[in-house]
Amino acid sequence: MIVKTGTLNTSGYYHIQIGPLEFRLHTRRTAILCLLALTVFGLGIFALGLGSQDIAPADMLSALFGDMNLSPSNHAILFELRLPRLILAALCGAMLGLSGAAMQSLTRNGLADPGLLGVREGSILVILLLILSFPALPMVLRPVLGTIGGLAVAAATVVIARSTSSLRFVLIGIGISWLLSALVAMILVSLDNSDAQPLLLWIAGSLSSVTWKIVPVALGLFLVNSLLLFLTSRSSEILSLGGQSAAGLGVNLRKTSFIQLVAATMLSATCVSTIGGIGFIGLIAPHLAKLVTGNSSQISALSGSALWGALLLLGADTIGRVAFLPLQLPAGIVLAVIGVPVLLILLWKRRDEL
Amino acid sequence: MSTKRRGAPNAPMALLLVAALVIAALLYLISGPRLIPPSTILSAANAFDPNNFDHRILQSIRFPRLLAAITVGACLGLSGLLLQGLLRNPLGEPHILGLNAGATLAVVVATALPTIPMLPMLPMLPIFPIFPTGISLDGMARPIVAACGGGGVFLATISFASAGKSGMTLLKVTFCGIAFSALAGALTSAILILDDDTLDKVRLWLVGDLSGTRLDTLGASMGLLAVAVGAAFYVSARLNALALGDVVATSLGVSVRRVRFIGIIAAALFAGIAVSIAGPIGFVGLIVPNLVRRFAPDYRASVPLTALCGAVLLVLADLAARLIMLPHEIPTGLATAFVGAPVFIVLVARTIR
Amino acid sequence: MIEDGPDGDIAPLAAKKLHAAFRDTTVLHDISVEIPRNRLTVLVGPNGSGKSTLLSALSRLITPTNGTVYLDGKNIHTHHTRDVARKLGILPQTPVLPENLSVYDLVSRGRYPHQGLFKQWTKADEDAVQHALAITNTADFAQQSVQNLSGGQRQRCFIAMALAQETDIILLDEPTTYLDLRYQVDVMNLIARLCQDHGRTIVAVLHDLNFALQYADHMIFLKDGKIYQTIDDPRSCSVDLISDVFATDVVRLIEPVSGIPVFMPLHSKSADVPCPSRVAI
Repeated sequence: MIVKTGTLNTSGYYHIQIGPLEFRLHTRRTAILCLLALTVFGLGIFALGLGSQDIAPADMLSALFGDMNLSPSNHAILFELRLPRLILAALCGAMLGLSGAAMQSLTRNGLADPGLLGVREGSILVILLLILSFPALPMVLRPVLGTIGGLAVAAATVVIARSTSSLRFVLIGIGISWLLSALVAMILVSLDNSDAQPLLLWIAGSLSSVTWKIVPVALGLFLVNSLLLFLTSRSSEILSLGGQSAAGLGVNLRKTSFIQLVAATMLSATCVSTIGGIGFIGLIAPHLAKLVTGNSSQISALSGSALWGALLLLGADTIGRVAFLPLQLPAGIVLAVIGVPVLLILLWKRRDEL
Repeated sequence: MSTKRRGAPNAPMALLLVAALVIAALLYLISGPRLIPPSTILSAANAFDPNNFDHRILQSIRFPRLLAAITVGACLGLSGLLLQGLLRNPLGEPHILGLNAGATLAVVVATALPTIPMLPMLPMLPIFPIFPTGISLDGMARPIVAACGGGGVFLATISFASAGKSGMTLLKVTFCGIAFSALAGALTSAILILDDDTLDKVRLWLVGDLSGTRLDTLGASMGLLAVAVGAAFYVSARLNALALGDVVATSLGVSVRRVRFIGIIAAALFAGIAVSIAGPIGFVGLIVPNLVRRFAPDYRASVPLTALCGAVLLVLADLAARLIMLPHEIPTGLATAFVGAPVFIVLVARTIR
Repeated sequence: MIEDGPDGDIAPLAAKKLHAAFRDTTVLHDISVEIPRNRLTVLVGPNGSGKSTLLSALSRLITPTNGTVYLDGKNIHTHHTRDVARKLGILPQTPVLPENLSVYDLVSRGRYPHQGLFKQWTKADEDAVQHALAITNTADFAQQSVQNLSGGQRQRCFIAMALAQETDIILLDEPTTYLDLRYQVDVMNLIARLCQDHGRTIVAVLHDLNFALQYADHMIFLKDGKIYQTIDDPRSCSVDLISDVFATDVVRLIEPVSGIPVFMPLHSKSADVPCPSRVAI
């Protein structure tokens, strides 16, 4: 394995050759992304110790490495409740971030969010119908079925709007999401208060009923779809130059758009299926990523969005878990309260162009 | 301006709508889990008999609800008409612009206030004399609270959406509406999750429901309604000029600022009244003005026509809501959303390239 | 195949009996044209004559309803997309510019057709980008954001991107529209240099007839979707030709420095004074 590295050029890129693979790395961006990854990890460890039962960091770390010095209940809290919850928070946050970054580059609209398109509502609707018809449905099947619902909605939106990169697409997606919300609301209203409340909680976006069984499914879907997005990242960079320039550079517009839309939808639907309707991450994570890594590379944008998404969801979930003890606020609500001001700032910055 | 010529084609439409309203009202009173024949309705109107079960249903349930549906429908339609005219935007609608979410938040906050522990301190403030027992949301208080909340969020939405060189574009308005509605919605959800009691009290009302109306709530809003209608007539006379753009309108002698100010207050009042009676009902304000303007582009004639059309629409929607899933009822707000969201989609698909 | 040029080799880009439509209306009728190698060919004509449509058809952006476009002697639609991208570069009329993109990054995007899964960025790519920046004189502000540059500089950046693509043929759709006069000259000089000094074959749609006359080696006049005439020497451009193509009376002047004709529309302020039509000075 021959590793050859070149010199740093004036734009900050380092040329690297490993065997047949030749690529370049931007030193500053790569460093920032690594820092972000460390922050996510650090926040995760910190959040692990917080909650209705605070566990001291030292005890926690040693428990993670195999020591059995924790009381059985604390051990259970740590390993059965918090660890899967935090892992899933980071994973889902990353998925939502990726989904948002892909949607924004696809629609060339900085305010696109898979949640706006009704993908969330479509997944929620399908899963709700299934939970009510087949209460014994294994949790593991939910992401798969939710994904089908989400894809159906995305397909319907594309067909009605007849384009993916315009105002029409975004507004029609919004209309469809309203229609589906009404359907979901109808189902909820026909239930008793006691049945409705946990579902309301899930729809608002909550990680409180997460178990280990979901994690492998989520992880698998995350890996497959993020691979798709990363493989089409250079094509999507070219797509952002407009349909004509992209065609001139030899990019297959339809194929790239299709793959990106499907991957983004699947990521979003997976999240909804596991933790409910969480918004705003797909909207703001890509912008936060652009703030720190710029607009030069789709791979940086994707990685940055994933990391920021993980950070946001971990943070929101932790706040919801800890700030109002003994009451628990769903992460979705915390995110809305943080997310809307950020959205407004984004709107403000674009007020002259939109 | 020759009003006579413009008014004339609308007379048949007005008559049509009045006839439709009467028919819809009749259907409304007749239908339900218990069918009441028209003869009984007539006898209840002429010689009310408190021992007749049907008469009592009509008096205490169906008739108040019918009145509420007519009022709410008219209010929502008028609110939408004013917004669309003032903002020059076919998607102007109290729900989309955050009025409903703001009104809901205001009402939920007011309902939840008595249970918030810090409250005992507030009676010391001279401006809140009613706090010792919590805000009672009967009478005029609820529509006013709702109108304030709705108006506040709405003003935030349009102020934000108008910022910048491009002014108030479709995309900005929609996004700002979504943003502020989402924020209000999240705060509302937070309160409801943290406080079970309030959830119980408002759950059905949250999706827009006419089933709990009482005549006194309705009556209390009448005063406000009169004010709003007066403002609406004042504004609508000038909306034709406003539709030509601010500059042209000013040169035609219209005080753009004043018209906008009054118009927005009227729109907020209408929406507030509607929300306080029946909870947040969306899309009526979207469909009705667009429909009416197709046949009657003159804004002055639109006011009564929109009120009539809105009333007919909501009476029919509520009728559907009551009958579709017998013996259950679905909330009216859902019925309007079922029709309204597709209409929104069609509107966008037709008008935006 | 179609032959061209003194050395008798195949025309790099050509069309034969081309018919093309735009949204159900036929725009081009029976167009047969050859683009000469290493020359600047300009398409001129009034609005609606089909200039942009012809360019789109030549660049494979639209599919003709009839007839064929030939790239290097072979039907362009049978070429692999990547191959076309390596031989033909396009600069559309209003290119989309992503926010906050540096000049270097924009030009780098032009290397896409030469890259693959394993060859994500090679020395050849780097060299091509630096070369393109040098030719277009954009290397000095390579780290700046493209959106902060002037119109002329921005256009040069897009041309640099097309250059980095290292194609023999470059198609430009109205590259000087919306630019200030001095930037128009700037861009046209660059385009002329690309032909003369760097051996590219360039086809441009130009709105301004007189600019076209000053710079073109080969001109194709389009009217109502058909080729009206092609000329190889701008000096041979006559008043009759321009008057017919643009449906307006013109007067022909000679630009004193280059000797190339300039055409001005003829108009009269007073309706009584008869217009001296078709006067050659």
